[in-house]
Amino acid sequence: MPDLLSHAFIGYILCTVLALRYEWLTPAYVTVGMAGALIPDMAKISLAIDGSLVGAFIDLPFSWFGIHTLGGATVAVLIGVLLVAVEERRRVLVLLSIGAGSHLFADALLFKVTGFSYPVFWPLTMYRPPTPGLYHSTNIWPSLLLASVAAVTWYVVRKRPHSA
Amino acid sequence: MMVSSRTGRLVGVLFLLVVLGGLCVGFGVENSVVDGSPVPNADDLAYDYTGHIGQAVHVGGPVVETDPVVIETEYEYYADGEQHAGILRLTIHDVSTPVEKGHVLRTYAVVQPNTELVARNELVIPQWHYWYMYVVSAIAGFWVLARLIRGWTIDIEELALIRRNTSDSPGGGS
Repeated sequence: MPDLLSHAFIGYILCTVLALRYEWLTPAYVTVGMAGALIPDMAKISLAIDGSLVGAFIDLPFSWFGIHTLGGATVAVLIGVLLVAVEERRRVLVLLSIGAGSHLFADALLFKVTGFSYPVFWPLTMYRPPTPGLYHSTNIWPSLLLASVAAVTWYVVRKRPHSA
Repeated sequence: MMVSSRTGRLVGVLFLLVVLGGLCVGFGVENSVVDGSPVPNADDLAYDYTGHIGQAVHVGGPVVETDPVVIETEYEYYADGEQHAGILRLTIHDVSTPVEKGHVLRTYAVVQPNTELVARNELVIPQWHYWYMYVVSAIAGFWVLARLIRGWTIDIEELALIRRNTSDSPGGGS
């Protein structure tokens, strides 16, 4: 997906739609799904601290992009699960996973000049799946489209049942 | 065993952070310039330009000249116990998309001698698109943070996040 806002919208839409089925999925839980959707982009810390700098410090190769893979996102989700109270963990695990998974999937559809995406399934494999190249990370239209869908979702799920 | 105590939670988080760090090291190893990245980029060119002549690499950076097209791409890599960083000036031939100075050009191109590459595929992005991306990404971060603060709070004794029950109900809010 293009930007973080698009990812947040996807998390919002998925979890709010699920609220139609699961009454316990209140806005606070939707927020958890949205937070999950931001997790893989924690790798963007590379913009502030390059991986090569960390590598030089620890005298080992290092890449923040390890977070933006199946393995890294899974561990980051588990950290999030540990941070919440015990009685919330099962729901938080599910919602963070939905959010993080949606991010990894959406980014696998990004246009790449090589025609191939990133090793999304790492550390299981370094395989880079071919990408359909639906959008680029700086495209504006996806966030506009998703904002519209999010607005409709909010109205249908949260607003309309209580204005009737 | 459920990790439920304050100490257990701290130990668990620290352990997982170490695991996460290990994964980042592992990914760095897989993409090390020393052994050659699976998909070579500017870092690999900076490390060993002549070794990549004839290979296709993906590079990108702002266009600084248009005739011929020249981009400046940053590189940063770890090798030989040191961090190496700098800027490569690369001349890109066969760019079919019109470009202007300041545009960002990303290309999958075949490396030729003398820092010249022949484009196979390219993407040209106006610089302001990147500023848009940074701004809306910051908005997203603040939006989610605000929702987290509104919906959750910290139990200081347990050092755990708990929901604020008073502000949350199935039919209310967004």
